[in-house]
Amino acid sequence: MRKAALALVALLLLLGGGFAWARLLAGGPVGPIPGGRLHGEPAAAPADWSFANREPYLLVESDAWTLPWSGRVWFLAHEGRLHLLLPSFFGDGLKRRLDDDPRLRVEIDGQVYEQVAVPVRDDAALADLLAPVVRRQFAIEIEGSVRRVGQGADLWAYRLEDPSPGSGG
Amino acid sequence: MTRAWFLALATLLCACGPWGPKGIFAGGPYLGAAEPLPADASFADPEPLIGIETRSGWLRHSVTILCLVSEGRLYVMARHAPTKRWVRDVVADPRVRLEIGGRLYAGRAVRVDGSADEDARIARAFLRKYVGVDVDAARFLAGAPEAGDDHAEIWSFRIDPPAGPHGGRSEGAS
Repeated sequence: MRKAALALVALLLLLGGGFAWARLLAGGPVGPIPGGRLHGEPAAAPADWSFANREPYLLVESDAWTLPWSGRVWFLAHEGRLHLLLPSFFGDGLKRRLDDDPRLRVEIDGQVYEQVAVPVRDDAALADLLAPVVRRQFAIEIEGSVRRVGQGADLWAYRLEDPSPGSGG
Repeated sequence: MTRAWFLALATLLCACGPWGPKGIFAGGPYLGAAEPLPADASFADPEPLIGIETRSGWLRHSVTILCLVSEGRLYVMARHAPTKRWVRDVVADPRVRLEIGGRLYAGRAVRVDGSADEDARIARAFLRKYVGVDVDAARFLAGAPEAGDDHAEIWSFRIDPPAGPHGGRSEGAS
């Protein structure tokens, strides 16, 4: 019985240790487990982000709360600008972090870029984003006008910008 | 020593199921019996995510997925569909069990890839439910993206009531 208990404790320690490693030390998310601080090389942001569209997801890190959080999110480089797209059905964890502190670190090809997420609230700007977004993320082609139905799920959009000195939460 | 290994193995297995997916983590089979999915599945529409259990031989695999209801029929969809295990499973064996609002339902997954009307209807319903917008017209892009095109490959499935006597009533967990 003592050996069984020891085996159980060892297994739990192994699982807990694995989770802690993934969450804090792995340098990014591991499978479905969010990660901590991204380990890429700091780099200056490019003027045109269109190259990022070859990636299916964008790797981002938020340091808004006590522990850094990193994960893969939907995005679109549109007209050279990087946009984050956070569907509410995936939860609002990153949105709440961005509400507290809009600064983000973005990693592409081992390079880490400091950015600030600015919410896209203007209907016209959102409509402009929507057609390429739903085409890329959902393979849906839209024709005609777009109207908000104002119920159910939402899609929070952010435009990423270079941080100005002293910006952030 | 055997007992210790048995307990360790049991703990490991329990971490993978057998009780369906837990959030972002896939799971094994759902426990309990399922009732046939009703012909009118409108009750499922308010659910942002539902669980689906698929079959691969004697194994059961379950994940949470998007769903919508159009004209009373339940639809589920997969992004980057060919890479998803549950999609490969239902293509090989369409029998599924769904966890909707805490209850289990049995059904058959039928791929939607022929009717332009049905395709357009569910594309608009999807946008209303998950993006919060209504549009004049919409359609899913068919097939895999061509080289240089970065759109996701979406496959949609309609969930019909199960085939067989009594609509496959009370299909068990295994």
